[in-house]
Amino acid sequence: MSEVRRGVRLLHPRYWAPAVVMLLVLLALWTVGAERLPYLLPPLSDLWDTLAGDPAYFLRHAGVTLGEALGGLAIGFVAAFVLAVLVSESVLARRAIMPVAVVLNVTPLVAIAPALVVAFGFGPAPKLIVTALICFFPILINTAAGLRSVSREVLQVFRTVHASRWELLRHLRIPTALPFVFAALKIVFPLSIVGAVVAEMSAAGSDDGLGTVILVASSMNRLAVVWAAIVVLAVMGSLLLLIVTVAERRVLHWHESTARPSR
Amino acid sequence: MSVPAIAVRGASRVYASADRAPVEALGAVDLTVDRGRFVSVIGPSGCGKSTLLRLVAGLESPDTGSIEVGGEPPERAAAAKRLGLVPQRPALLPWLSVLKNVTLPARMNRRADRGRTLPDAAELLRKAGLGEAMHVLPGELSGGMQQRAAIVRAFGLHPDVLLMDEPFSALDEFTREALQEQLLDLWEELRATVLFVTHSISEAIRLSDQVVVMAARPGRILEVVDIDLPRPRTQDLVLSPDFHDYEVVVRQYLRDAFDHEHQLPRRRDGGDPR
Ligand SMILES: Nc1ncnc2c1ncn2[C@@H]1O[C@H](COP(=O)(O)OP(=O)(O)OP(=O)(O)O)[C@@H](O)[C@H]1O
Ligand SMILES: [Mg+2]
Repeated sequence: MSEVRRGVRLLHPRYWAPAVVMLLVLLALWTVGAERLPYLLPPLSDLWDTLAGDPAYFLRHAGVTLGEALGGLAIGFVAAFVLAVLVSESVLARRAIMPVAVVLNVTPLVAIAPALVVAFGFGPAPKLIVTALICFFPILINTAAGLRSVSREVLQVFRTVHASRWELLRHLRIPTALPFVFAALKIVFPLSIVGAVVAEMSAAGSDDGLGTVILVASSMNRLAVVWAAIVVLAVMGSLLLLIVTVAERRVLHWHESTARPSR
Repeated sequence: MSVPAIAVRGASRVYASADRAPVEALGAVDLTVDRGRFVSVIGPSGCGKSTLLRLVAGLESPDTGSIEVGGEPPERAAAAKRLGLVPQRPALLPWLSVLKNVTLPARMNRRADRGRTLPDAAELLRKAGLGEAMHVLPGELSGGMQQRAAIVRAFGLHPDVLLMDEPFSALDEFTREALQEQLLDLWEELRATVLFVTHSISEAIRLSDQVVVMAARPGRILEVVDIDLPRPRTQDLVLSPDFHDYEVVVRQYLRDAFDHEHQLPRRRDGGDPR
């Protein structure tokens, strides 16, 4: 189906009305909640005034957190992708790397954030490391599985023309792995924000990032600021996910996972 | 006499596995295929047809005996890109257009292409009735069209030896017959030696100069039937008494192959593990 027709279809209330109704219900519940539990939820008007009152403040801190998240993600991605190629090409590498990767995965990585702060101080380094570590495993596992998922028949066809390992990797394995890589990215983009925020909160002396904003504001009981920062984080995460999904549709237009159901 | 296109001498292949008795997929098989001939291999499931094809393709090595393709080991023939393979499923790459799929083998192992002129892929596709579909992704084509593209891909390198493993088995009767015809047209033009695995007696007879009947446990050649029918093998010929006689002969050998199998103790497992 053409992009334009798809876009027009999404404008139909059938598509957006349910979500909008749901949002209105939640806002109504919030309003009621804020009256009953003033120590948990600020009134929506306060939230709005806080955000609208100093948008530059939130944008600046959001920029810092986003930078840490994307930077860490990029480092984790490159490391995981390279290792996934190694692991899929060499049994020796697989036996060496996978056990360590699995142990890393079951380690509660947010718990090492304080240790990293001790080691690296309040600069960006511990935040990038925590984010990279959190993103690492899902990318490694998915990419390695994807690289190995080339069908036996396809491999046989290209082995009978003596394609080199590099040619098989570049022309067959990496494209075949792309749907797996995108599945990993959809998990890892939101996770990268979690990593950055947790690392900021562990570094109790740093002075920017939305995690720091939340930590400081909650210690001073400024509920509206806490929730404003949370809302900004949620919006940021959603936008990242949207970007990955759109990129996936473009890159994987040939793949069945992006085929639209007929209704 | 010139060097045969395929020479299999006493080749055997045993698959050992930890939890089962070793399977003698092929037991000392001899087969010689002359240049430019179309040879079909038929036999009960598990008699080693695919194994034979993999050995000739150089994808595996025999445990004993030797295999030569055009007088040299299969690995060398593969390195020189003189082999083509059409597997049971089309095995096209879903992210490449039909034309790009067909020309991909030419972009790999380029050293072997030096000093060769390859057939025009677009022209071959047009001949195979895929002229309109050239720039379309494989996912948008029918199974028959996909298999045609896979055949054109294999012919695209102008290989000396073409190995086909039940390429039409997933297609309906009519598509199958149309594809047989197109395969013969391409073969008449490009003249490769073809080793063609099939389960269909009439398909084997219609396509081939020789039909090799195999039996299982151990995989072996029971009989080689020469098919002395004129070419082109038209639809009329398929309905002729001569054709029918060949069918009777091959069917009888095939029945023998099955009987051989059932005299042996029954297998523990139900089916083919692959
Ligand atoms: N990689 C393998 N590992 C273990 N056993 C195998 C392997 N490949 C084949 N075999 C066994 O070798 C025997 C011959 O297999 P092969 O696939 O060559 O048979 P086939 O004649 O092609 O059968 P079909 O008509 O079902 O395709 C079978 O018993 C099969 O189980
Ligand atoms: Mg087979």
